[in-house]
Amino acid sequence: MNDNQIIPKLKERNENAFKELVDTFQEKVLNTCLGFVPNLHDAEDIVQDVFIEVYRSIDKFRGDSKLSTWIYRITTTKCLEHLRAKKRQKRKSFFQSLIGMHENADRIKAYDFNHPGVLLENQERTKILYEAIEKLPENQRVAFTLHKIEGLSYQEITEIMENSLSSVESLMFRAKKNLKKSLGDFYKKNMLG
Amino acid sequence: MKNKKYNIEEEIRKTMDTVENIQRVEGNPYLSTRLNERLHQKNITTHSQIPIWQLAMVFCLFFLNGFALIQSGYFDSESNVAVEETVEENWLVNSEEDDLNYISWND
Repeated sequence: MNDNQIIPKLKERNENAFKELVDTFQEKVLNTCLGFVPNLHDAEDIVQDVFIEVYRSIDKFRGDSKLSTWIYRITTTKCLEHLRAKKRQKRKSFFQSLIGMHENADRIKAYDFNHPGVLLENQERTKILYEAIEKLPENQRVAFTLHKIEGLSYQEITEIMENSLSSVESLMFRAKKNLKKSLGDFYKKNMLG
Repeated sequence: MKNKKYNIEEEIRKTMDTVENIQRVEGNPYLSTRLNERLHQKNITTHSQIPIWQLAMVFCLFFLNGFALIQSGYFDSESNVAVEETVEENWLVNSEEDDLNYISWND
């Protein structure tokens, strides 16, 4: 089913159409989520939230963009919301540890690295890369993840981020530069120290 | 020094390249079922969240309270006057008694 066929059915809350949508997009959504949050458990939770959001707000979809672009946009938003919530939780537990209420302080991390698509021999390096990606500003992180991890073209990213092509190119350039700097600092510290 | 710089650049390159080796992860075959369950649960909660019963209970309580107050004659003006008169009388009696007590104490 193409967009024009499936969208009216989704708006009628047709269960078969929704199942088809899930089957078509779940792999893309899951891999994008893992690109932002490299933890299978958390990523699967976000995937569910994405499809619930699609189901709930399909009436708001005007059809200005492709259905896939809209789903990628929801996925990115949900992942960023999840990361912000984790950051808030981390900050809260840090302050609690300062004032002595350190019950959960050690337990709350940004995430435990558990990406099933990363080979065992690459795990350490990929973890280092993800830690560097985590330090990037949000829009650079989105552009880098969608292009390098999800394999989307600049044109597709332009539509998802509702930006111009030149700004996506610029975001990618700055993301790579910042990543190299961040990794350089990491290796200088670890190889010299 | 030059060798160390080369090593760092090599490490950066290798780490940046790991992104190309991340394999695609297959989706969960039970996702549709889970989503259906969640959507069904959400519908149930949404329906139960409609506060018709809560509102009805609140109105019932107001009505019963009002009814009880009316039955007890709380809004009855005659009984209010009677209550006020009783209070005033008692106060007078009590204050007279207090005055007498005060005098007797001072004596």
